[in-house]
Amino acid sequence: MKPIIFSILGFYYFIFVYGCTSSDEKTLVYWSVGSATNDNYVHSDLFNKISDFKVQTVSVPWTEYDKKTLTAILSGNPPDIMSQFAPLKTWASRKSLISLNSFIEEDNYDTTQFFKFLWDEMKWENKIYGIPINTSSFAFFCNTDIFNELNIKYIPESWDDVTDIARRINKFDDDGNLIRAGFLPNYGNFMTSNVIGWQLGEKYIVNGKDIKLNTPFVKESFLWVRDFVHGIGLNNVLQLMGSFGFAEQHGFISGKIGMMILDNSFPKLIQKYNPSLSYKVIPIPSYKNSKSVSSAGVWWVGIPKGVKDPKKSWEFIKFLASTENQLDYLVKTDESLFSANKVAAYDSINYKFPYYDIFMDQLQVGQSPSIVPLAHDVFWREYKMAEERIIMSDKDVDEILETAEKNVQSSLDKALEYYKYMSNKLDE
Amino acid sequence: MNKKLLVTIFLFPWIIGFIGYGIYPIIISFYYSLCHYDVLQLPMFIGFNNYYDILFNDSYFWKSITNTFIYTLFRVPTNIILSLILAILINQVSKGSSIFRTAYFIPSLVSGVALSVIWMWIFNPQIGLFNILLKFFGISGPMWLQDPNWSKPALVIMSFWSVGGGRMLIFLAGLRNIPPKLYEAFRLDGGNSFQSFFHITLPMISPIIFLWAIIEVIASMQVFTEAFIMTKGGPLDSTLFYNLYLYNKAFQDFNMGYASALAWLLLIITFAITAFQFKLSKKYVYYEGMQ
Repeated sequence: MKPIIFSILGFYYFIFVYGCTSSDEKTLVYWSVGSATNDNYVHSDLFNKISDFKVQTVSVPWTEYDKKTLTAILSGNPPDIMSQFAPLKTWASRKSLISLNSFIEEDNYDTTQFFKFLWDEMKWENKIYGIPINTSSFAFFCNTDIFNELNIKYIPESWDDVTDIARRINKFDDDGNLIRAGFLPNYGNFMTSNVIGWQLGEKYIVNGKDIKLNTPFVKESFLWVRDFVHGIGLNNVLQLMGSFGFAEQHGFISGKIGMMILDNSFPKLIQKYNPSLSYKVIPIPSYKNSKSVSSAGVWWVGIPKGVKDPKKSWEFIKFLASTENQLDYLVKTDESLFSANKVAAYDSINYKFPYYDIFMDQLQVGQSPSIVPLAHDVFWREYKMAEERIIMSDKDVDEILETAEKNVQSSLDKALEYYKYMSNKLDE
Repeated sequence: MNKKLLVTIFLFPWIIGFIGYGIYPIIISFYYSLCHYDVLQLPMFIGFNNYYDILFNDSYFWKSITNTFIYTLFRVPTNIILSLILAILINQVSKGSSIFRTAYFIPSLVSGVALSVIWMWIFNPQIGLFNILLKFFGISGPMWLQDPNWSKPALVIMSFWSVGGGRMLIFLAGLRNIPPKLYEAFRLDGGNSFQSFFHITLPMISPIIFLWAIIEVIASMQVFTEAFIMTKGGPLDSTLFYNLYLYNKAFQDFNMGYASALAWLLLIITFAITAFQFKLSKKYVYYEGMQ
């Protein structure tokens, strides 16, 4: 009996020890946000050919990325290099990243190689915590098949033009159901109310700590969206939106929407799911003679707190952001994201993508969606809820905006208090 | 070798798991519920502030708990009644009842996520099965998941999908356990089938109904997948259920302290409802051989 017992205990011990041991102490691990772009491309391949240490790339699905990274950092076994597209400030404020200032100074690293507005996103309390790798921008798509069908000869330059053209495009069946819409301001990732808000000059926050959602500009932008939707009929709009899905069922790709704000991945998606669709990409229309704006997210890489050899991690990060690697990536993949490296972004290889120049122009007027870094998710959830309430309920608009403002402010105040507490703790 | 030691050794992995994944998280979550805690940094002790904020400053808490109660109130009785009716019908079939049993059981095997995606299409206002059927009868169907007044009823209707699952099978087993002599005696006394249902069948299977009432209430209080996949809590927070709100706080805002407090409140609420059900059971549940 004793040998059996000891065998069982030995097995437990083996499992436990094996589970706690790193497979290869000399190899660095890079967690890349998994995407559908090109699963065969390994970000560290080129690096491994020229470096005296190896990096293993692990593609983590974006839906799980935050949770996996958080638990890895918490358990003291983080990846040596992490990539992210959530606001860097949110991660840096949680003390989860190592400051890169000493490496940058030591190597005299050229930070001007990146677009300035992306570089600014890498700062938290005057320190650099990440290096930008990719970015994207939004522009305005018009379905030219529909434009030609209705003999619409001009492209919209203002939101008034959009309203006029959309009215002509809207199409109803015999039962009165909307089967095609010119434009739906409450559909898509980049909210039209947000576009108009920015075009009016709205910042949504003052001094980094006072949330402003109940302002004349915010109200005007939401009311524009509400009036537009109610002009078509709320039920009509909801019914049509209910028939949308992904890929060929997407509102614009399926041809059920004539005009839409979309990001630069859409030319590729249209080519894949509805290659016969004719469209044109133009700058996002202006509101009351304002300039065009766009939203520019940033994909960045950083070094999580608790890594064994930050210097080696930094070496790999430098390589990832380099022109050489960025161009290699662009050549070998059909990535639609732009390089954050200006030389790579303006390289002629990019111009194989339709309307690349328009998207690049839009990038120059890009605004950061990271408006309230310490309460990022709460801000956008409350913002979207406020829009939904304004469109769908009879409640007073001021009351809705006041409630949203109060909720975001409360979350931000708590986050700031917590941040102050943690900073004091670290100073001790 | 001492037999007790042997048992302990074999139980060892389970005990470790139970302490590590059961007891410890329960205790630590109570501590976190008294803190502001974002997972990556140290918890900041704030006493009962999270509980105070939830109960007195958080409109989403009241909205989510109201939604969950309404959903539970409609889902539990309808599901139990439909499962019981199905079990009674199958119990009447003398030949080939196993075919019906299997046919009705199969839908309950579909995973919650896949089911949610299927039902999103069934509830589609333009091309969904329900509205096409309603249109056939000349009725203009509602907007279902896009209408705040119809979103909760839609999710209750969706829960009927699994009425033929384990619940129906256990009801069927209970029905078949009722001694036929009880019905014979009842008939001899002049009772009809309808009366025998209320005077024999229901009392005899009341412990099973009670069991399912408890299980279903607890499950309904934890409803999550459908709302997470199909509606994200909308429209207008009409499907913001308690667990979805808790999830948002924990894994979107990474406010683990607040989420832990929400979890403890859910435990207290569920415990109170279950205790009430047990108290009520003394009146309507019949246990054979007990006073």
